[in-house]
Amino acid sequence: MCWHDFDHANTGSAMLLRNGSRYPPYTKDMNEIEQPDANVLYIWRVEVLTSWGIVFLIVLGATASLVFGAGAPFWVIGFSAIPLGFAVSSLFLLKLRWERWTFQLTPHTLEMSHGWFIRHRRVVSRNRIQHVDFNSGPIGRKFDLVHVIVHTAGSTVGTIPGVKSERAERLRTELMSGPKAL
Amino acid sequence: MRRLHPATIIVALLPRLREAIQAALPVLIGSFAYGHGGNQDWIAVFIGSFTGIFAIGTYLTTRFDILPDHVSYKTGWIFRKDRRIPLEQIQNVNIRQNLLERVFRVATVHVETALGHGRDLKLSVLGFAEAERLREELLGAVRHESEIVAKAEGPIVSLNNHDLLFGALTENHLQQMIVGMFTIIGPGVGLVVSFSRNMPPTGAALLFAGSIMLLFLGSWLWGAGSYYLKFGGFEVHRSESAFRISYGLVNRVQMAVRPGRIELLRLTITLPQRLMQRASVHVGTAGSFGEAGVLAPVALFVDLHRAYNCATDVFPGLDIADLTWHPFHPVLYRAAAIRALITTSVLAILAAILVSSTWGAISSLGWVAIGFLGLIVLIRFTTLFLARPENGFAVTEDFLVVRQGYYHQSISVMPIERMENVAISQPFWWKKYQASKLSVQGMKHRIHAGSIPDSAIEILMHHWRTKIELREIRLGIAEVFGEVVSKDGEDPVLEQPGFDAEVPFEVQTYGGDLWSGT
Repeated sequence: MCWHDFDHANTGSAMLLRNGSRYPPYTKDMNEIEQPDANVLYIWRVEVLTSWGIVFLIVLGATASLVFGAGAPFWVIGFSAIPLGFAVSSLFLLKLRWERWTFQLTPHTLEMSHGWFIRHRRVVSRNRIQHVDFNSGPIGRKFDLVHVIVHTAGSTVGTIPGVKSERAERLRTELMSGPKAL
Repeated sequence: MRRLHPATIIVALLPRLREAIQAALPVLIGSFAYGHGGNQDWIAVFIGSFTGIFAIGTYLTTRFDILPDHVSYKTGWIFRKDRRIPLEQIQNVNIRQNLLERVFRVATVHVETALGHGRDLKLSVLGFAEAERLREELLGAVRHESEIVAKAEGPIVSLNNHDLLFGALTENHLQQMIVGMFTIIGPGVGLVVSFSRNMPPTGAALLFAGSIMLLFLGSWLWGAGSYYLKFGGFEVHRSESAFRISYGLVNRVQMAVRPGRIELLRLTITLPQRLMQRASVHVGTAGSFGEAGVLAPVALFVDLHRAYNCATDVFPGLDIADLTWHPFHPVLYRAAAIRALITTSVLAILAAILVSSTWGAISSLGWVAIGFLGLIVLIRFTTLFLARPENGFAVTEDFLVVRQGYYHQSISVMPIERMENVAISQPFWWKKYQASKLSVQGMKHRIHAGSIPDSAIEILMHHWRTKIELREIRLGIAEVFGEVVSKDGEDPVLEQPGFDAEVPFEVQTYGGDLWSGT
């Protein structure tokens, strides 16, 4: 766990202060950095396969009709390999996506960070969180996983994918407890 | 329970009448086409009168009242609606009068919460005096003495005719211009093309360029005129509980904004205004201000130093003239240069295609259009670099301030106290620069900073966490001992042992001080 050193508060950024100590100095009540459950990969794989699969079928259908209906050369069917290639490569990237997805509950904030090409980090003040939604599909239910969606008054802040339902319940209780700001 | 003003029927009826005519029109046309056969005329009258009944029904069935902790509002007869809004969730209270309502001396009261989008309370219409009384009750200020004092003190900002005219002419009307362009671009192009069909290419190009300039000028004047009508008689009064803003020559608008709910302040300066040392200040809360847009003006076309004072008035402790500004990270400008390069090359390719595939007047029209687009790209690009020594950000203990733009410069301020969430994104190739894109969001408004050093983000987060902690300590103390009152200027919370609000490091800067231009 070195590449998200910068992203979370308790590991501290690599920033050394003038007095030689590390910043930020928070230690109290700091939860550890958590990750979505590894089984979320199955959910993502199915999502990728269905979405790219549909594209693949459409392209295959279109090229096949060109070849057999309009007498285009046979290699035109090869175009349908493009969505197939995308599907395979994104399947391989999912592991990376899961590795980079972390969240952490600090005393005052919930921090989420994800992404590899462009690194995203979202920090929400806990006292501004209005409600927390759970969302799970058939595959998520099989692995006892839910997506946790965090809302504030102004916007939907983010979704933590694939959290064990027991942990999600605990997370919701933790997020909804405490004083709320107006 | 209170009721609406009887004028509701008339005020609601007239707009409805238009809708009724629109609804009945197809039936009338049908009736006319078939030589008034059947009962279609009567159907049209029936549809028309139906909407009138709704207007009467609104008046008869609407009841509202202010209870100790919430506003209650009931309306409807067949489908009933009962809405309660907690008093502490009210963001702003607006009173607006259109021309018709002014004739009847009535007004629409709009009570806004953070939800917005029609899910708040709109009372249309009340007697004007009653509307004002209602507003005071809602703002929790029934103390009429303080009101009288505030009125007697006079407005903190008012706009005289001369300033109104100059403000109208120098304000940024780009939005109106774009809207105007889209409405007349179709017939306009058709007209110009039909004129230029028999002209030589140079003549056609000149005609086209001239008509674009005319379009720009006309829509600018249109924007200026609507600004003049909208903001005539602009006045801002300040009382303890609210900023009271009123303006409008035709449609009068009065807004009351609670200072504690303001989450964004935006100071805007256009280029001519910068030469005249003038600026405008707008504020935003979680509510929207109805048709007036999401921001409410608290100062228009005032002297720059007065605008700064006004900002201090809105956010005590903020002194824009005395901030330590830091420049954005240079990678932002590099990215902009690459973007501009790509856009211009795309335009060049388009121009090449145009040359090879068309000829005559059409070709020259295309040339002018591409030329204008290229000009816009170039101007945007150069102004970004012109603005580079002036644009930047500042982080203080209480505020995040971002200064952007050149022709239309804006200084946006968000109190760290009102921040709701922070989004940071960093493309992997920015990692070596230790810079990220920052977007700070409150309940409704957000501030973007194109490229900001990671150390500044950490400082912002530190202040933010400190604010949250302070609030929690205050709440905890208040639960046990009652409200925390600071005595002789010292905050008892800040004196807590182990509480350290100091930031232990500084923002990295790039190549010297921002304002010296090195």
